[in-house]
Parts: sequence; structure tokens; C-alpha cells
Amino acid sequence: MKATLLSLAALAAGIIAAILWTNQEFSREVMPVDVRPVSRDGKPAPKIGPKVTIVNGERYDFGTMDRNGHGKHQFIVLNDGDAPLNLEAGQRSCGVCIKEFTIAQPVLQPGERTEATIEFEIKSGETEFEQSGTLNTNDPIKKSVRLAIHGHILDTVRAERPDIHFHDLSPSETATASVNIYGFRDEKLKIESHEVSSARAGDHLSVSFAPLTSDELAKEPRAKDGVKMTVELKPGLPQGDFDGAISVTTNQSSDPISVRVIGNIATDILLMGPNVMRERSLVGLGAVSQKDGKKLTIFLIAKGPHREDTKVEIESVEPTVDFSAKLGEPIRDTAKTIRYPIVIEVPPGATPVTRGEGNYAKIHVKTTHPEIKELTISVRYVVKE
Amino acid sequence: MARYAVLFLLLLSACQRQRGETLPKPKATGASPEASLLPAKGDAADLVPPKESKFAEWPKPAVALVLTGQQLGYIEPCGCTGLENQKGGLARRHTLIRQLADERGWPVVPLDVGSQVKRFGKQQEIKFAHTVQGLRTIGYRATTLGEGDLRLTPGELLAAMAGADGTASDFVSANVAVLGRELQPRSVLIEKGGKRIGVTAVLGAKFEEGLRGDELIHQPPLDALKKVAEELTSQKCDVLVLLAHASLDEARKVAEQVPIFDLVVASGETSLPSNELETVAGTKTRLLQVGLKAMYVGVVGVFDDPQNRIRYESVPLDARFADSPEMLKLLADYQEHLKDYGLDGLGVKPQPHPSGRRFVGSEACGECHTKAFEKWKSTTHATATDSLVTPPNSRGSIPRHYDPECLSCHVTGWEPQQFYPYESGYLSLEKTPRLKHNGCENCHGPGSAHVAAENGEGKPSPDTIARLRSAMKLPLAGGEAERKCIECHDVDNSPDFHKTGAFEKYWKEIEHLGKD
Repeated sequence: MKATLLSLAALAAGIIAAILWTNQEFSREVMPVDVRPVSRDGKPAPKIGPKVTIVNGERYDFGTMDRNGHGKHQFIVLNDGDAPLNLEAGQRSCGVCIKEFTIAQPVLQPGERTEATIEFEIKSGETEFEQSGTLNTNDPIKKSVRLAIHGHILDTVRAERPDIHFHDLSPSETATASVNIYGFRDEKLKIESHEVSSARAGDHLSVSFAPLTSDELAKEPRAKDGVKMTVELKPGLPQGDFDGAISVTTNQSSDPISVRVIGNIATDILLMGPNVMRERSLVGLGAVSQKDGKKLTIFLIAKGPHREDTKVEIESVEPTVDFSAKLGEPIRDTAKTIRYPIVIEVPPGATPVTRGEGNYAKIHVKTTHPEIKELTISVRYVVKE
Repeated sequence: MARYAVLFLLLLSACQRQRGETLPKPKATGASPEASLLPAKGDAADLVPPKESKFAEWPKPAVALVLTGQQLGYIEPCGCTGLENQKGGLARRHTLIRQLADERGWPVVPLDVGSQVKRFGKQQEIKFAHTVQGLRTIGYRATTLGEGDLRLTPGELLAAMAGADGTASDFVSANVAVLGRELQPRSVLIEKGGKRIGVTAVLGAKFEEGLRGDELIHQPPLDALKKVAEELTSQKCDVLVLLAHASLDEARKVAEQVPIFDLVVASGETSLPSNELETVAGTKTRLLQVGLKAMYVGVVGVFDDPQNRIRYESVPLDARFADSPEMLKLLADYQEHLKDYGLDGLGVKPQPHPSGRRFVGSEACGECHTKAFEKWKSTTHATATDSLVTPPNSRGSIPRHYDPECLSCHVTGWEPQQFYPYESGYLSLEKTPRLKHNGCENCHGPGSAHVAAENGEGKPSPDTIARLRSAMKLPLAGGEAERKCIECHDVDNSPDFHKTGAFEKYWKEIEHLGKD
């Protein structure tokens, strides 16, 4: 009896260790714990059925591969159970990237092995590749196994970002931004030429290049060399959106790199906030309950070279009854902006009214900015009983 | 010793019971919740559909976290190759979440890791605003701004993020705020299913360093997160979740350095979501990534069972999931907004064609190239705009012919990948009816100079006529024609076109030669 108990305890410890190891090794949580029935009285163990095991791992990491490259990997499938294992090539994550997904032998007897082959092609705009084929089985515990192909897509040369943004720029200040260009070949990265194309902003954009420092280069561990491209946008552009591209030719690829430059020029005094339609200087207060009234805080943003000298005040509001707007203390969130809160209120008990097109409530704002001396904010709302 | 034997028998018994619970059930039929979650159709016609979802067999969780992100502008599947062949979209997502909440009765908490859009401009602002509205209708409790969202102007972001009460209390981030730090929370506490769920978010260092704009307030993710972690720890939450808009590697490092989270949801960089949860080394944290284009939804069940506290399933949003009427209404409203703004209002300005020539329309080509024109008329290229006016699918009641992202491949004279018209290209059904559909000049180039020369305008020399004729030819050799096709028949919208031998197969359907 004692020997039996010792055997059982040893077996239990083994199973627990195996479970812990498996969990740690494969770092997964969700699958049911695969503990098959075992004998505890010396009689033959019950049937455990078909059992699928991928001998060389369910995820194949090809390391790095050139964009548009292709490869093939054979996953070794073992029937680790005691009944025939049926295999079926199931869903592919991408019909384009996974060119072929085949199984050499659709039925495995206990102890038999076969290959599930995935042929893949790197057709992706991303820098990481992960695609898979699902192997369907009749293993009651593991009815499907995702066979994954993973790796890093290698370009010969690449910009760290595809675009540069300049948002809500003051029309009278210079703005700069930079983007790193990495080379992945052993040779030194050289910029051979660049071209700026933008119907609106082309004359205001200038581009310069400088070698990356070792710290900057370290941000892309696979890069061998790099150049920082700095884009300067000079003042003078009219208000509105602009869009352009900088095409950079290097010594490492015949295909130029294209970095988009997008943004917009705003005014030095900007209206922002919840439910603000900026292009119409309109604020939507929505439905207002007569019983509760409504408050909403919006903001005027002062920026540009005159921001510190600019004074803002609310000159008047319309209507003067059942509607108010109060200017708050200026807030400095960033070095280049000053934010003025304006609390708009329709008080409780206001008379039912519709303030729609042609009948908007108005907030007249006066400023000491040399160019933007006044601003009218329209407010739309409906007071309901 | 007997005590250990009893322990072992209990362990064995528990394992067998657990195994029994996970044995496959017979496939349900009809409209039961189980049946509605079983795949009926696969990713594409020739691909074998997945087997049934694992969570179809889950017991009811204490709470189910529904995890999405990286929509990247794919507010709905394009439908170009049939909706049944494509995954994703708000309309299907809403149905899945409704099935979990209403039909199964699970306490559901949807969370999103950001990047609803990926481009810049008025159309993206409108799309972002509609997506936010959709997320709120679906019942999302927290989301964050991703790298793609932060390409929009801060003013438009702020306007769109505000809810009915004027606040953006469900847009959470430890390290990024638009305009004022007090306008968006660093973390939120959600109570659901008797659980307290603390949620915060970070924008990864690579994206944070690239932020531009005077109205964006931001700091490095780790500094910000360590501060928020103290606050969250004091809240005594049952579950702590970090939405990390970052690569999987960076999310893993953040989880190692701030090891308080039960779950870290990374936006990640790979097309596919995690198949299984990863355990971050040295922590209790489970990590997953959501995949790209919101084609999949991650469902994490939180259970009271200490042995199996968290389970995870990634669900492809394929044609099994019917469209939610509310989201279809939202999509219709989105298209209506695009119509109201018009191309000018959307900032879509015609650009000069690189050749300097102008588009004349397929009818003009057909005056001489009669056989080629007849062939073209027999193809779906000749009805391409009609399929936007009345899409030939279950969403046919929503016209798309004011949507630049659709127009670019369904009319004549647009840049197909950049979504703008060339000067003299299609503008509207009324203004440029001769440029409807995917006409001859989309492949052969604008024909003004060739037509003028053939008509003897400017008394061209025979050499000039020959040169202009030659310029209109699109050779099959060297893959030139195929590359032109792929400008529209790209991997997203025309996956079948990228299979081996596809070009030869499809070319036969439109095969035509120059002049009669």
C-alpha cells in the first residue's frame, strides 16, 4: 500500500511539474489543461484518443527577410495519442501572404508523424510579419492549432515614420520637425537627392540632412547607418490645409523614400472645445432642459508671436436674457499656447426657444491681437420644457 | 502520506471534470446564441472556415472584456470583392457584443486601444467622429487616442471626443491629452458584473516622440504610467487593464517595469491578433495584441475560478455576424456627411496629371476603338460607379458615390491610392457623366493629346501621331499592365487578384486589342 501511495504521489508531482513547465514554456492561459486520464490501479489506462503535437513548435520565426521575399516552413505534426488523428488544412489568415498550406498525410496512426507545410510571401506594408494557417484536427482537446509564421520585414532603407504633421500652425511662426531615415546595408547611408512636391507649401518647405547620433541610431537596432531629415516650414502660408511629399533618393535603393508632409495653418486666435465646429465658429449646445439648464466650457487659444501681449475679453452676448458667457483665467498648458476658458450657460428656468440658423445666440469677443481684433462665436441650442 | 494520496485523487478528479467541461458540444442549430457564434463562412470562398469558437463553451464569466483597436479607417469592410469575403467593421462588431451581452447575459466591457483612422484631413475627421459615436452606441467604456488619431488636428479631435455632456471622460491616457490635461482622464474605474476594473492607457515612446502640435500635452509613457499606477493601486480594483498603443515589444517592457496589471492590450504591429495570451516574464500580467484593421475582436473572460481566472479568444468578424441596424444607420449618416461637404469641403482638390494631358471619357475612345469599347462595356469596369450608387450587397441602401476613398477606383481620372481626382477627372454624376465608371483612360492614361492628334488638330506630323498612339499603349509584357491593375486591385480590396495566375485569368475577362 505504501509503495502504491508513493508511486501515486510521485506521479502527481510529475504531472504538476509538467503542467507548470508547459504553462511557463508556452506562456498561455486559455487552453484547457491537457491532463489525460491515467490509471491509478495498475489496470490498462483508458483510451486517450487522438492527440496532436507540433514537434518543432507552433510558431516559426524566420528572423528577418527582405520585403517581397518568400519562404517555406514545415511544421512536424505527431499523433501522440492512441487513436487515428485526422488532419485538415483550415483557414489561412491571408490568402495572399500564405500561398500554400498543405498536409502531407491527412490521417496519422498513433505515433506517426507528417509535415504541415506553409509557403509564405512577404506582401505587407508593415515591418512585422505574422500570418498563420489553422490546422483542424479531431483531437478532442485541441480541435485547432494555429501554425504561425513570424518575422521582421527588412527594407534596405526606411523612414521611421511615413509622414510629418504640422497642426494648427500660427501663420507667423517657423515650425520644424524631423524624421530619421535608416539604412540596413553595411555601407554608409548617403542621401543622393531629394525633391519637395506640394502645390501649396512647396516654396515654404526646406529640407536638410545630418548624420544620426549613436543614440538616435540605436532606436532601430537592425539599422547600420542613419540620417536625420529636418523639415522647416517657413511663415507666410495662407490659412488652410496643406499636403505634400518629400521624395528622398539614397545610395541604398533605386526606389526613393517618400515622406508625406501634412498639416494646416490656423489663425493666432483659435476656437476649440467640445461640440465646436471651428470652421463656422459655431458651438452646438444641443437640447437644453428648461428645468436643469446647461453649461459647456469651450476655449479660445492664443498662439503665435503676439500671444503674451494679446488680451481677450467678452464684449457682449446675444440674447442678454437666459444666456451668458463668462471668460475664465488664462491657462498655460504648453510653452506656445495660452488657453482662455469660456463657460457658456443657459440657466435653469430659461424660456423655451430654438436658437438655430439665423437665430443663433452670439458671443462677441474683443482682442488686442494686431490682426484679429474681434471674433463672433455662434451658439446653437433648443430649450425644451 | 494518505493525505497526499487524497490530494492527488482530488487533483485528478478536478482535471477530469475540467476536461469534461471542455469537450465539444454537438453543433447547435437554429438561432440559439451558440449557433450564432459558430462560424458559417470563412475568410474567403476557397478557405476552410474556422472551427467553433472556444468561448462558445465557456461558462458565464464574471465579466467579459471585449478588446479592439487599430481600426485604421476600416469603419466597414470595403465590399469590393463581396462582404462575405472580408472581415471587420463596426456593424458586425456591434452584433457580436450584443450577442454576448443580450443573448448570453454576460457583463460586457468593451475597450479600444485606439487608431480609429490613419490618414489626415476632413474625411478622416468625419470618420473619427462617427466612429466615436459608434463606440458610444455600442457601449465602449474606455478608449485611447492612437498614433493614427493623433494625426488629426487637436481642435477636431477635441470636438469629436466630447460626449453629450461635453466631456471626454471615456478617452483615457496616462501620457497624452488634447489641449488640457484636465479634459481627459488618466485612468477610469469601471464597475461591472460585481467587479471593479481599473483602466489606463499609454501612447508608446516611438509615437509619443513623434507628436507635433502645440495643443498636445504629452510625456514619456513610463514616467506617466508609474504615477497613474500608484493611483490605480489605491483603488483596490479586481482587474487592472493597460491599453498600450505601442508595439508588442514595448508593451511587454512597460508591463515588466510597471507590473501591476492583470492584462495589457497592445495595439501591436502585426496584421493578426494574438492567438493566445502571453504571460509577461516575472509578472502576473497577461499580454495580447489586437491585430490591424479591427478585423478581429479579442474577448477576455474574467472568472472567479482561481485555477482558470482568465480565458481568451480571438474572434474574426466575418460574415457570420449580421449587420447591426444602428451601425448601418451610422454608416449612412457618415456617407451623408461626405455628400454634404462635397469634394471641395473635404479638401479633395483636383491635381494636374503627371502627363499634362486631360481625360476625354471612354465614349471618345470608343469612336475608333469600337471592339475594345464593346468589350469594356461587357465588363464590370463599365458599371463601376453604379456599384457605388447602389452597392450590390446587403448594404445597398447606402450609396458611396460621395466617398473619395471609394470613388478613386470606381470612376475615371482619379489617383487610385491617394484618393484625389486629376484635373479633368470625374467630379460628380451631374458634372462629369462621361467619366463615370472605371474607363479606358484609367489604365491607358488621359487621351486628350492622342484624340486631338487623330482628329488632325494642330496638324500633327505622322511621327507625333505615332508617338501619341504609342504612349496610350499598356504592354502586357514585363508586368506593366499587371502593376496598373494592382493600383486598384490591391491586397485589401481584391485579394483574389494576388494569387498565382490571377492576372492571366482576369485578363481573359477583359481582353482587348488596340484599334479594330
